[in-house]
This record gives sequence, C-alpha cells and structure tokens, in this order.
Amino acid sequence: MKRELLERVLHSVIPRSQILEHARNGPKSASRSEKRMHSGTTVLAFRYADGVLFAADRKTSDSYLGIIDVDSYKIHQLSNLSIIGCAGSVGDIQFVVKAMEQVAEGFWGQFGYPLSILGQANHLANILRDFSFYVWPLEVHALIGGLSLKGEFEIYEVWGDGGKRKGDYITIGSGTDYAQTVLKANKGPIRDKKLNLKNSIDLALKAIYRAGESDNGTSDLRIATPTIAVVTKNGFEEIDTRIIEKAARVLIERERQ
Amino acid sequence: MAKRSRRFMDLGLIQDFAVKKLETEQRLSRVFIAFINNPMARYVVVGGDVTPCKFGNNNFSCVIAGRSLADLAYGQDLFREISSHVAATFSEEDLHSTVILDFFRTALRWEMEDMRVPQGYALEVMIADKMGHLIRIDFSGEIEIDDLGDDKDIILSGAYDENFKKRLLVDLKKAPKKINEEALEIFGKYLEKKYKLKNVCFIA
Repeated sequence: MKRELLERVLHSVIPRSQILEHARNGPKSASRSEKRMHSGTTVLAFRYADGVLFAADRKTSDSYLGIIDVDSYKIHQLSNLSIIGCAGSVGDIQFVVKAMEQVAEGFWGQFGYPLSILGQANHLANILRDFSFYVWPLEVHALIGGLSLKGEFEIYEVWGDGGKRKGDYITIGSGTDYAQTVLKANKGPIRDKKLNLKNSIDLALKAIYRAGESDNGTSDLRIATPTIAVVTKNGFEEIDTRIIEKAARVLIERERQ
Repeated sequence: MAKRSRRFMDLGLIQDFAVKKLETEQRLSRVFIAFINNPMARYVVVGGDVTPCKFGNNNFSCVIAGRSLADLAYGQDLFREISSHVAATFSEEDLHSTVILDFFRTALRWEMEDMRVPQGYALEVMIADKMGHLIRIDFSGEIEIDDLGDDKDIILSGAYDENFKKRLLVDLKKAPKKINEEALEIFGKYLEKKYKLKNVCFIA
C-alpha cells in the first residue's frame, strides 16, 4: 500500500520514464542531461480543412523542478511550406532546427525545388540516428509538417533514435497523454478535414489547456499564450497572438463554469 | 628554366585534354537524341548502335544514349547511384531533373578532366521535366536548357559529325506528326537504312 502511494505521488511530479529508469538503475549522480534545460513541452500538429496546424506551449524547464522561461518558441519555420516543432533538450533542438533550416534552404537554392516533407523527415531521422551512437545522443523529439510536392498536407513524427511515422494528428512532449486524448476525441473531423481554422485553434488550445492542467512540463494556458502556426497552400503563417489570446479567454471562461 | 618546362607541361596536358575530348566527340558522331516538338505530339527519337536507356519518376523523364554498352552502363550506374543517394538522404520524391543535371554534369566533367583516364565516356543525356524544360547534358558535362513552349521543332543532342547532322536534321523534319506505331516504325527503318545505324527507337 505504501509503495502504491509512493508511486502515485511520484507519477504526479516525475514522468513515468524517469521512474522506470530510477527503478532499473537506482539513483544516479547528476549527469549532463539532468543539468540541461529541457522543454518538457506539449507540441501538437493536426490536419485541418486548409492545411496543417502546429501548436505548442511556451515553457522551458530546468530539469523537472525549475522553470527557465515561459516565453519560448517551440515551433519554427523551415521553409515557406514546412514547419518543425520540437521537444527535448534546448541546445539539441537549436542545433537540429538550424541544420534543418540550412538543408531546406540549400536544397531549394541548389536545385530550384522545395525539399519534400518526407525528405525533411528522413533527413532529420538520419541526423538523429547518426547521433544516437554518440556518448550523448541528441535529445530531440520532433514533428515536421507542411505541404508535400504532391499537393497533400503531411505530418511526420521523428524520434530521437531515428524512427519516424506519418499521422493525421500527433502530439509530442511530456503533455502527450493529456493532449492526445483531446485530439483523439476529435479524430473523425481531423481525418475528414472538416475543421476550419477557428475550430482548429479552439481544439489546439483545448489540448494544450488539458496538458497544462496536469503536466509539469507544459505551461498553463492562463500564464502563457501558446504559439500556433499553420501551413496552407499560401505558405507558412503564424497566427496572431491576439486571436489566440481571445480564443484562450473564451476557453478558460467556459472551463470555469 | 623551371618556369618554361612547367609551361610546356601545361600545354601537354591541354593537348591531351583536347585529344580526349575530340576522340569522345568522334565516338558520338553518329549517336543522337532528338526531341520532336510537334503541336500534335511530342516524342524522342534516339539513334545509335545500342539501345538507349530510359529512367524517370513523377518529376521527370530521362533518356541516356551511348556509343557502346560500356558507356551506357556507366550512365546507368551513375543514375542508380544518384537516385539511391537521394532516396536514402531525403526521399524518392526529391529526385528532380535539376538534381540529375547537377550530378551528371559534375560526374561527366570530372571524368573528362581526369587525365589519368585516357578515354572519356561517350554519353548524351536528355531530360524533360514537369516544369516544361528540356535539359541536354553532353559527354563533357556541358548543359543546354530549352523551354518546351518555344517554337523549336527539333531539339538535337549528339550527332557531332557535321555532315551527318545536316542530313539528319533534314530527315527529322519529315518525322511523323502524330504518334502512330506503324508510321514511326517505317520512319525508324528508313533512318537505320540510310545512316547505317543499328538501332533507332522512339520514346513517347
């Protein structure tokens, strides 16, 4: 009984993976990964009527107990037709985003065609796989999405070990379980691409709100306004913060009642 | 004195290079790829001693003609190397005409300028892409790009023998205006017989 209680308490503050690691290996001395800044994060992406939507909270954590910043951007434009959103170690994310921006720009510049979304996901998977054999592998979990050369909107999830998958709606980061539940409840409209931009923003905010309620690594909607960006046939567009704030206020008001 | 001998050495290298280029040109004197740009039909006529090879995907179509099977095999190897490299690094969707152009140009130029190899690869490449460009890469890596919307009726690559080229251009003007299997076969046989070519084929 005591053990169950202890585990329950532990689960509420430390992600499950940490507990398992602790159980397997025992307590470890402060390593590089513990000292680094992490974006515990909830980053999500799904397809809607006009394209793909990416949303992310704004918190950067120091290990799992400190907060460095609640004004971070976790969604980055790679090219005019693609976005990347990352969870993991801040330094590694910055390295990966820079490398991906250079590749996307370089391909376009050299060959005159945009690099496909699958091509970008494969390239990132290759980078992460190469680094997975290093002493300190890159701690990055990423979402890449945008308009493919076939005229379809695609989203790929890329893991730190170089694995990848394609999906209609994907969530990454420590708030995955909570946000994914919200998206899963709306999988029908997402798959059928029935959501318009307004509905999509509301859905994304609700998912981040749920994650912020329960996850230590995700910023609360009442404290920090999430970042939302879309890629449509017209290209990349970051949604105006005032629109997101307005939608967030409505959501918070509704949740209070 | 040292300067002088260096100058003679350089001149020797340039002479060797010119001879290598000329020899490859001569080997390709009666090998050609012609793009027939009719309002009714667009197709490619390839002539030479060996059957050309054709590659492509949703983004482009590419024809490689060579003097011998060995030359053609090098072109095929090069294409496979490029496509597998691009597919492994990015994806198959990212294999564009400009990617092929870039790799082929570099490889053929490298082979031509590598003076440790006495003979160049006798290859001609023609690429048509979905953007309406027709790209020609010659054996030395030189490129020419035409717009398919232009008024040019015939776009010719190879055929470095001037007399052969003149007569061929006159004959290619008589090429069938529509893609008709019988008419093309008759025209192909006519070219084979007249110019003593072992292989003339058509690619739509």
